[in-house]
Amino acid sequence: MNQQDQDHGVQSIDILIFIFQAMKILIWISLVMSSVLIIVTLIPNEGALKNIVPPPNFVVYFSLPEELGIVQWGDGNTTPFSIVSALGVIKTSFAPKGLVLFYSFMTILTTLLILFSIIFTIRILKSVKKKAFLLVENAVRLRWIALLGIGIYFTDRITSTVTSSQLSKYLQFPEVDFTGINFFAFLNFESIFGSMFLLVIAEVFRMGAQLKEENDLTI
Amino acid sequence: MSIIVNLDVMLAKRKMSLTELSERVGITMSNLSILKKGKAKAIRFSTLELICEVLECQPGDILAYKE
Repeated sequence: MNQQDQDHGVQSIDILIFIFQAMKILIWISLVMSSVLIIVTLIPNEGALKNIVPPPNFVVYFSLPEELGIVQWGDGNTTPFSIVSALGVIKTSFAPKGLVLFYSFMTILTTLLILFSIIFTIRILKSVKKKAFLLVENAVRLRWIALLGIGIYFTDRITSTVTSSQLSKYLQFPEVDFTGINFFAFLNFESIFGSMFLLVIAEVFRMGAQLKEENDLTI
Repeated sequence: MSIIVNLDVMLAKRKMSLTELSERVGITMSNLSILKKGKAKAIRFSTLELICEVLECQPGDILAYKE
């Protein structure tokens, strides 16, 4: 590798560290906001603070079973369609205290998991910058990032499923069916597949790091 | 690790310093230090042969197994 390539490599690592540091700050802000929401929700009396901090926007699953539209295919054929599964976000000025608390708690949990995965990523990037990448510690960090990714997937899905199923009892909108459990959303394995793949990579990386360590300590 | 490196004992018996051994064997001081402290994961036969030759001893004088 020539000097120019090495310089580009260091620059791109610096940029990545900067991006992840910025993300970390944003996550901290989000964490503080969620904590404030929990505190405001726990205040027993209606106060001015409650007007300033509205309930969060909730995720809902819904369907439009009626055939409302028409698909116009390029060959001239037309056919009606319905929406069998959709994901949306609702905004309301009031929400039950229990639901807001659950949603805020789960948001904090998910945010914490994201924060830890960002911290681990920053540590890996810093070790890359120091040119000490193939370490067992980094393999352990990669494994944690993968496990946190799986955790994020489940907390996110559980939150949206619980809030959606709770709200589906109360929400009314013409020709819209609000559903609690949405298998299309829950069985979206793309993100969890990425985490599982990272878990395998972390294990291979750990073995490689151990081999290197053994080689380095062979006299 | 249950393999003990008795390099310091042999060096004391031969009244030789680690620096002298390093120069005569051709191994860096840092590597010899790793070996002496018992932090090494493995030792090459060629290295062992050189150390035995310089210290005029057997591999068993340098390495020992302890439960």
